[in-house]
Amino acid sequence: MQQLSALQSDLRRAILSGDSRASHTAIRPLGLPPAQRLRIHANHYRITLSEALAATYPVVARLLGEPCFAGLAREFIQLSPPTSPCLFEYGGGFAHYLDAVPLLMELPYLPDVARLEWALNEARHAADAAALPPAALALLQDCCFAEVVLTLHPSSRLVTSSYPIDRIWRTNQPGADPETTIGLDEGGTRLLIHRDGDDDVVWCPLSPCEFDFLQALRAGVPLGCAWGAASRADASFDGGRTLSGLLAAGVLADFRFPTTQA
Amino acid sequence: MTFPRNFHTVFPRCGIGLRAAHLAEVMATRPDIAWVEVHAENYMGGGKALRDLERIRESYAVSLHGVGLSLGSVERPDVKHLQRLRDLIGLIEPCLVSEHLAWSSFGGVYLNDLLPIPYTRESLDIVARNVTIAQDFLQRPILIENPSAYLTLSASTIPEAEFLGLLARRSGCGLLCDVNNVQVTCANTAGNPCDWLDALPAQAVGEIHLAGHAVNPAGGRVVLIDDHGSPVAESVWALYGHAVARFPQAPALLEWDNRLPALARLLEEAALADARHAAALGSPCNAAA
Repeated sequence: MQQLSALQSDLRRAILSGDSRASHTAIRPLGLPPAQRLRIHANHYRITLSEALAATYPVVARLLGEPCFAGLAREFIQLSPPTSPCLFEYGGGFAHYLDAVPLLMELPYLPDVARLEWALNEARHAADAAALPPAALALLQDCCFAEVVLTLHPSSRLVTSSYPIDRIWRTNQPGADPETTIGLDEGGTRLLIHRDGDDDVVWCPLSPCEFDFLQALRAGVPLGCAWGAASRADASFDGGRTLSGLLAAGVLADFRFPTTQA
Repeated sequence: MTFPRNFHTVFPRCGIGLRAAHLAEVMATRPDIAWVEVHAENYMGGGKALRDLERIRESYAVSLHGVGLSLGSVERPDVKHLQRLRDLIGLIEPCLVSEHLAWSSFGGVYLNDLLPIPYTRESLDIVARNVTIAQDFLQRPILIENPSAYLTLSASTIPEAEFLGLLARRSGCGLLCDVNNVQVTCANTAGNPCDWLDALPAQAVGEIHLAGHAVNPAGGRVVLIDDHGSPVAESVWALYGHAVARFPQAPALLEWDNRLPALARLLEEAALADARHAAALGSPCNAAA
């Protein structure tokens, strides 16, 4: 397998780095130089991934403008090549990459908008799972209630930002009022994103303690502990109402008891 | 594993590659489409995309066309990807499953392109091994498609069509003859498309692809780019006639991915393929068409 392995290693380098010299002798010129022939593949790689990023991050692309987005996408693609053949899984590190771009200091909310768009993308494509029937938890006896560990639906994502990224996202949708102004100091956002019963991606704003409560559930903290922590943080936290809201929205997929063996 | 040989009796008319932009219209209007093909990788998540495909499946035969198995890679096919494909096959029960004679993954990176392999004995061993792994895992035969070539690897010692024939014999896979790719490859690498088709073992061909290509200037000459962004070129229609005469049993499918036209236009193009098919076989339909 020596020959094919070496060739694939060289072609991979030619596509990822643009340095195709090692591959030149492996290609018959036939009237067009090997470098130019390899560029067809390298261009296809870069252009299709750039299109995939633009499809996943339309609001970021709109906020940056086409040339700027294209330049950043190009650099991101170079730094983070895909690992999965499913392109809807490509680009999860884009927000983190944007965090470190000095040019974007004037758009401090931009990486968080990217986080929101990634969460929407993940929610859209996450695995299917049946929602827990609303009556399921009512069957639990009081003694077990505190011990139960809830599993969130695979589509659920939690996103937080110190900027009003939900309003920024909405005003950058097609057909939105272009005159809308948003003050960056009008406060942050905490969002629960998930698919509804029709598999449409929806989100709802959360209070700080609701957000912490959901984050705890997501981390596998037993219900009683998560509930207690949220109540201590905010006396007005209504755990019962929050839980029934989550059940009704189909955000809970399952429950288990950590001490019992499956 | 035996490969069914009678697809054309099941799908006597040209199907279409069904893209996300047309899904809603197809579901709402249920037009008379012979069969549809989708890219498997677009449906490997859950949610609405998969629900839509299940609904499409209620009315149409669906072929799953994969682009990500990287069967030409020196590495073995990714088991996680095979599992996802197997799950999708279980859900959709496709009429056909196909992949490419190409590679795209190496060293943990997915290069999102159908990259060429040299046609050598070594490559044949590797691809036959990978196709066998895939077919054993999926518990069904798959069709392997000839890629579009933009370069010729010096190491190649076996003509492409002959290589595909050897692969079919070694692994038991069927072949997907993409007539547009034959035209693109032969134009870009100084081959003869009719000779190419004549060298393919007719009995192994289980599907024909039709698509448009771009003609781009490059270094004082032209390079054909397999961009699926235009109607089928006249040269490809002519070649299709040749392919139909050689592989009359293989159903045709029209691919259109970029600059996607209205669904009605896509169906018109598929109807042109039906007329060409009839003409190539000299059937009485020809006179009416």
